[in-house]
Amino acid sequence: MSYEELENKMDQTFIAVRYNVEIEGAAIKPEEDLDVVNIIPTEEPFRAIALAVLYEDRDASLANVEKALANDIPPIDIINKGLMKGMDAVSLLYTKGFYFLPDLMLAGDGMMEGIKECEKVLGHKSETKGTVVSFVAEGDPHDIGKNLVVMFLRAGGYEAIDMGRDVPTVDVVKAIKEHKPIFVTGTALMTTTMTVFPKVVEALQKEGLEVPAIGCGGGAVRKDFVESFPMSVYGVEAYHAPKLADAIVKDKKTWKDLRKEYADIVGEFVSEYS
Amino acid sequence: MNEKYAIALDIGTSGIRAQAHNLETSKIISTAITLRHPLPGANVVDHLHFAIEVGEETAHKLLINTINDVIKNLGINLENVERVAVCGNPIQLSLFHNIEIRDLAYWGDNVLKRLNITPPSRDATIVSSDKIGLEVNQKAKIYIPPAIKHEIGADALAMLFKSGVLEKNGIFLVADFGTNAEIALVINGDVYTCSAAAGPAIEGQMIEKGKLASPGAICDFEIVDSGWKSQVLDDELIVKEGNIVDPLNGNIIYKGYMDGKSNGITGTGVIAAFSLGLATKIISLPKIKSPDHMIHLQDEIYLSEKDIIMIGKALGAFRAAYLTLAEEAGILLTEIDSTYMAGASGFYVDPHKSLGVGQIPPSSQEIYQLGNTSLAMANDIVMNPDLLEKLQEIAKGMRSKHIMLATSSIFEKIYSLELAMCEQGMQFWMYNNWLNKYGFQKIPPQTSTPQIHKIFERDIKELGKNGLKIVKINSTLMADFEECTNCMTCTKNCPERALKMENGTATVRTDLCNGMGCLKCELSCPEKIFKFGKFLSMK
Amino acid sequence: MKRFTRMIYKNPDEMVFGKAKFPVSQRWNIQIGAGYVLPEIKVAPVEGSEESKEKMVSECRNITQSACDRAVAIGLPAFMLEQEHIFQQTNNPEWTAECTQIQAETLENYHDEYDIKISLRATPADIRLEERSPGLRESDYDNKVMESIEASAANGASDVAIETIGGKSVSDYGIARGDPKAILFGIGVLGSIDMEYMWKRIVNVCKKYDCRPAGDTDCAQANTAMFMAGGLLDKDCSHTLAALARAMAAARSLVAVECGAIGPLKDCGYENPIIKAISGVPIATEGKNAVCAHSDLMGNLTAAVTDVWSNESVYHRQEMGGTTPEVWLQATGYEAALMNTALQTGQEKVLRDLYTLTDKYRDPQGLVLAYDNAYRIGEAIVKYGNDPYLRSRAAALEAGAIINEAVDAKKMYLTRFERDSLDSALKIFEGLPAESDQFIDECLRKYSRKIAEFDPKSYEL
Ligand code: B12
Repeated sequence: MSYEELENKMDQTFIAVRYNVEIEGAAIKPEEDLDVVNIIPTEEPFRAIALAVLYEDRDASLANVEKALANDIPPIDIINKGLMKGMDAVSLLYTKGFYFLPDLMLAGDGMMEGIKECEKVLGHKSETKGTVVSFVAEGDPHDIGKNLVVMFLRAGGYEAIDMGRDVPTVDVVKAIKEHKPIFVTGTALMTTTMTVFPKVVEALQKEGLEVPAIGCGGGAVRKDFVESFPMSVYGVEAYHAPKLADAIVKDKKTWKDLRKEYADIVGEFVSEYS
Repeated sequence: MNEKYAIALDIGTSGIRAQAHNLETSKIISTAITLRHPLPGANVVDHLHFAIEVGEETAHKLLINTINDVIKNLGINLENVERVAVCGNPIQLSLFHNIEIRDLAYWGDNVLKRLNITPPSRDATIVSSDKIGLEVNQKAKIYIPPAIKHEIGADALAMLFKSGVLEKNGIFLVADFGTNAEIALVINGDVYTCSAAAGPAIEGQMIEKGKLASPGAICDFEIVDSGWKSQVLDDELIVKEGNIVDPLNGNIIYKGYMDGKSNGITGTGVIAAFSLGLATKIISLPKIKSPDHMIHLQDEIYLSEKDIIMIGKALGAFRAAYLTLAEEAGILLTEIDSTYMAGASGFYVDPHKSLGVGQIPPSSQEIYQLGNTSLAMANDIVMNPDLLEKLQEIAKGMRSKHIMLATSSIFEKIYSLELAMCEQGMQFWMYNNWLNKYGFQKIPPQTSTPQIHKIFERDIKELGKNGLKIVKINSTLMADFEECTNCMTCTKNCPERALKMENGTATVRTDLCNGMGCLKCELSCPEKIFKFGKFLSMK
Repeated sequence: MKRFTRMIYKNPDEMVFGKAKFPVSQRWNIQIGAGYVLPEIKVAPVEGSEESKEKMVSECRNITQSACDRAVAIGLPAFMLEQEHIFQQTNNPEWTAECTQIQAETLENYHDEYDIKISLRATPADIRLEERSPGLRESDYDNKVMESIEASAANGASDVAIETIGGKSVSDYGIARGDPKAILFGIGVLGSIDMEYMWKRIVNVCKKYDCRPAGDTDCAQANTAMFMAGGLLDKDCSHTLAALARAMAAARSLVAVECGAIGPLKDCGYENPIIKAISGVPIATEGKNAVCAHSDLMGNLTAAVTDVWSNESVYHRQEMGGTTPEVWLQATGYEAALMNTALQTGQEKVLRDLYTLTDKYRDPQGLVLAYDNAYRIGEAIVKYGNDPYLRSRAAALEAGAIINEAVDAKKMYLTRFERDSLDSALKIFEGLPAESDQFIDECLRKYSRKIAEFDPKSYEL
């Protein structure tokens, strides 16, 4: 029997097991992941656009989008069938533990770059599920958590207005007036700055304004503190933000409902809410 | 006896240390310390916040009263004190000095603008004791050394000054690994500084069974047979042998002298456990691979997965910070000639473990453990008051190369990798690949032959002929709440049992209270009448 | 010096154990690669024997004596005894002389009495230190190495081999940090330069005596990567990167043959099958009967085209079955007997293929050394045969392609660690300059600053 015949005859696993692969799983291309296969479109140019986001390749993402626009593909389709699908896949791989924080940040850049290009052609902002205002408390520099929140919201189909860090309360109120957001997120990591949250609520009430909910999160913040004033809900993980927003938009949930049904809404066990 | 004395003071976030000098013989006479800080809270921001909420005057007085208690325990005639030198971080020194602190409590310009706050000068200065309220000879002069810049204070200056690297040629890393780590990279006399807010886990706080270094605290581990042998601090803060325990289930393999006598784990202990856990693969971030996902230590003390992530985030801040400095300064970590670890936790930690967990660059070949350099510099100043001027000069020269991590995109990128590693279980090789992808250097492999130089036996070099006294703080604040129904919900909710309530009069032990980071008393009050900010009067 | 730009073997199927295109004849009536496989035994002197010359000489005699006794006791027709020097032997060439002499005498007695075919291999240690001035060239240690080689040749060694360490400072750095460029520079460029320096001289020395210049191994570099890579679950060095390092090592170890070494190439050179495919010289290899020395992931595969089957190394001590020279010669002896039976019955290709297939897909490191793949890497090397840098790079790229093909064919699965390190290494290699000078310039600039032990003068750079 020839070498090839012998080789094809044998069952490899009978002889040697690559236990490292057994344990960690074989490295597959991200688009071959069984769940990602269902997300990434098969049709071009959307597939290439989605894959560029999935591969965190900002330049390719931009180039693909420009090419598609030049070929008169509707910008809305590019966003919804291409860029957003790529980002959906990234978020999925993140929750599965294959992608990490830096992957999210890079892929997010690629997606935003593409969306901006599409909006230039559209001449206006693209349709989203709704607008969310995100800020870091006045006097606080810690913005890594907020950046994540913004990223997840955008990946989830929301227009997130990123107000940055060290944002004065008056500016938050102004932004709420201007954008009429369906949800607001605030982040504070210092005990000196988390006191801003009740002040935002107070200022809104003074002006007779209301938002469905203000998600308050960040290292220093605790649930009992957040629940000591109205209109707020304590946010635990950044990727919970779009789920909370979904509950508000789709199911008309209020901040009171969010507090009660948090774990159900985000779809996982949350020790702070148990 | 009419001898002349001087006092050196170090005000740390976790306690006050004082030493008496005989000015005629130039000898240290005695040492007195506290094991906690009189202000509520676990870190400087808590101290700040408390001062802002309750009143800066109250905070200042609480601090000074405690210092007065401490120096009374030095056993000298305080009327004969000629001068006092003090050192500490800018927040502690400002509280001591009773000057503006709010500029240190917030980041950015907006709060300062809104509240019309002008940051005060924190240059070197000399004030008289009556102005501060110290109960020493009222004409005694008090020497306050300069801050380098904003959050980089006299304590950072002290570690640089005492390490002696400012005059040397070569590349040196100097760091004080506290809750807020001051880190400096000194390249042929050029100083790059930054401040990395690691978090209180590094001192054993925010860890379920954690505590500050104090009697009964587990402070180190080594692997013996198939278990972990703990080292425990006794009542004199001397390290004694504890039990050997199987970390997977808590079974005792061997009973040591401190069996039954430990009551928590301190920062160095947490680092040691983290290091052994990683080395023996019991920890596979963010998980603990024991049946109940805990690491079991002696006397039912344990570490949870939450604790492990906390310490990972804190150590990650160190690594991200020194890597950022190296990248900003354009050097490789492997080019560092020696590494200096200052502060108590940098003194008591086992550097072999620091290397393994990334607290210092794993390639560090020469490692010096300096001990408490703040107190050492205060000692230098009382013996040689002219030094103050020289220190001012040094501080001025360093201001230009301070790196604000808050606006450094390098830091943000690297810290995100740290988070991915400790919270999400990103593997170390991927971390290194990412560094490479970002165009940064990789973390070098660990040296197998580090040389460790521990110059003194304790973090305080010399205690003096009358030895060490540990002073108990007993400071309280009171407030009256007229509408109180005496339901006692607030006292029941106090995790530190620091609160007493009698007929609407609340009394809080300020040194035990967790302060503004906790507020369980106020938040749990069913009548919503408990206001923490009302604590005004001192007993 | 003539470099290989064509393959000596015309196709991989021609290669088989026990036969080489250019068999080697040595004294005591032995041929290597001429139709049979020899077992090899190598034993490290017991601790303490380095204290004096007398102790070392007696230790060497005892090892030789034990090996011969067992060879006769179990009826081995032929075997090779190798003595790998410890530092003191090489550093004192008169020790080398006396040790070699006593071994040669002992072996000759057995040859005379039983007509058993024997080969005595002397392997002086490369004790040179790059970080100590004047470096690898013309230092005291350098001279001692050459004197020891001469002492071996003059006192009865059938052949001499060595494991030289040129380029190790840089490749170690690269292996520890997963820096593929440093590995390529350390093995492919620096290693090759130093090989030329060493082997031209070794070949000249051997010419003066009845002693063959045998070969070198990239133990110091590629085996470091292999040991760091460790078992399947270890992550200190990626197994795919270790496989690339092995391919580069072939381009480097080939230099000995180009300088005049004739084989059998030294046992721990796992790259040897590639060199056999290129040059046709016989090779020694080790695998499952070297478990006394270390663990690898290709215990059978390395036997497929071997000519001398070795136990690598074992301490001289007592086992239940006898002393270690006896026990381990018996192990390699019976394995060689199996191969020789296959040769006699015309089944050698079947056995070769079975040996190969047991380990071909166990790990990427074995995969690239399977004789068909080894042949491909050989082809990549000779294509750029005249340029040590380009041919090492080509070897690495070909090894990468081999692994990728196996992955695409779903015959080999990689972890993400293995996958990512392979992808990034291949990407780096593809992006490297096409000119050797430019590559060397870049590397000199980058690594002379980073690596304290690296001394460009040692390579005349
Ligand atoms: C990184 C860090 C920094 C970086 C910040 C870089 C940046 N661009 O953000 C730098 C070094 C600049 C920094 C500076 C300071 N820091 Co800092 N810092 C940290 C550290 C180590 C980690 C914080 C972090 O990024 N966590 C990770 C992010 C992802 O978590 P997160 O923001 O909380 O977000 C998560 C959730 O909360 C949630 N989330 C957040 N918001 C929301 C909202 C919604 C709606 C939802 C659903 C979820 C959600 O999503 C995320 C998880 O998915 C912590 C200590 C620690 N171990 O935690 C200290 C810490 C926060 N810092 C602290 C301090 C005090 C400071 C300084 C004041 C210290 C100083 N010496 O000056 C300075 C401030 C600036 C100044 N005065 O100059 C203190 C605060 C103490 C307190 N009790 O208030 C801490 C706790 C450390 C300590 N000393 O104890 N710091």
